[in-house]
Amino acid sequence: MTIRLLFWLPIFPLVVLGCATSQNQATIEQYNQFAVRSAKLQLWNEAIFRWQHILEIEPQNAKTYNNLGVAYEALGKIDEAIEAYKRATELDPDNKFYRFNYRKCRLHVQRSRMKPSDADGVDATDSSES
Amino acid sequence: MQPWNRVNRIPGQNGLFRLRMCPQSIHQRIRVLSPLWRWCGNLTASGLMVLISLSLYCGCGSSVTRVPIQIQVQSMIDANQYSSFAVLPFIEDERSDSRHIKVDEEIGRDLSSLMRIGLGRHQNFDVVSTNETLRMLTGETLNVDLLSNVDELVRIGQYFEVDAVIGGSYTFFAVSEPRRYYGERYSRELQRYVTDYQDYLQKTYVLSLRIVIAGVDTEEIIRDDRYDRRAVEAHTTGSFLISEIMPSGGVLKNLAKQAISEFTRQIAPHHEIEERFLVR
Repeated sequence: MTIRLLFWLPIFPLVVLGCATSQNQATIEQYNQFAVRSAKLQLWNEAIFRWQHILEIEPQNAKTYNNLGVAYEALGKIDEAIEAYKRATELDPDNKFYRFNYRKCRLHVQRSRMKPSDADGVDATDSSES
Repeated sequence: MQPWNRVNRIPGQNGLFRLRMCPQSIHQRIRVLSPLWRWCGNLTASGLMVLISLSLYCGCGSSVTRVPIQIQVQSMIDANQYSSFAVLPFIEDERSDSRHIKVDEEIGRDLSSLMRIGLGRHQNFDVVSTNETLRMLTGETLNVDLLSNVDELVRIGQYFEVDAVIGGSYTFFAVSEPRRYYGERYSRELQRYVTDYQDYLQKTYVLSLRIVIAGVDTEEIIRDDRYDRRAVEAHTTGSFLISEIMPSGGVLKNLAKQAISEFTRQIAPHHEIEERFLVR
């Protein structure tokens, strides 16, 4: 009996914590799904609102930063887009999609010569990707 | 007669038979033939459902969504500062070698007209018309050296009362070289496909279009770019001889259209559709 109690005692708080985290995760997932659907319909302000809300819940969410970057870029807010992409690639440097978006945005800036200082970082390693 | 094989003749179709097997015999065969099928046979219905759901989830549940976004591409020059242009007739930059193709002298005027049409489509730009350009340039002699002479270009720009002057030169030449195309043909003697080749002449037309923009107020060359375009034709000896005699102004115009189109895209602010990845 004691052994069973000793086994279940540490598991119980883990289960409670896990439930709380999964509830947060579910909320984030729902917000993200909704925001992605909005983005597909070109409702970028709505999508930005949802993604900003996700960042309030989980400030280190790389995919949300990436998605925010796309939304800002679509609205022509290039500085914010670059900042968001940069944050996403910092949080998850191995993700090829984040790097692709970041690289394309910087190339766009470089081509448009809007802010050449931002585009200086477009290096050969990045451009060799897909 | 075997219990699991019954051959029925299909009515109305001579020579066609339908092989019918009883379900029990199919099961027996599957069990004998393949261990995988045997394993599948032992799966329960719920197991199958789980498998199907998993495969559907893996197939359809991609975590990334492509979205098209509209991005504004700025002009490569300051579109606010330079909004009115005079396009000078393009000048032929003659080469001394044999590859140079002599084309009609009027082509230079046609190319500048194409440029005027391309630039005139953009609402931000005001372009001096072809008639007015030709009228005002009456008596002027244009040569390739003019494109390097900023003072002269600025003087012409002031005369036209525009922000910038666009001038250009073109070089058009063709390179012909023998090529060999490898393919396969069926050999009746060997009763199989064999590797074969065919010699032909590849004629490559090359247009090198140089476009210069000179700012009138700034009195400097804003841009000096070269656009190279090429087109390739495959010829037999006969068609090659004909192509040498025939004028190739059509090819030149097509290549120039491509180059001028690229130039106007770079000069005019415009929107482009690009794809980005949203992560779910």
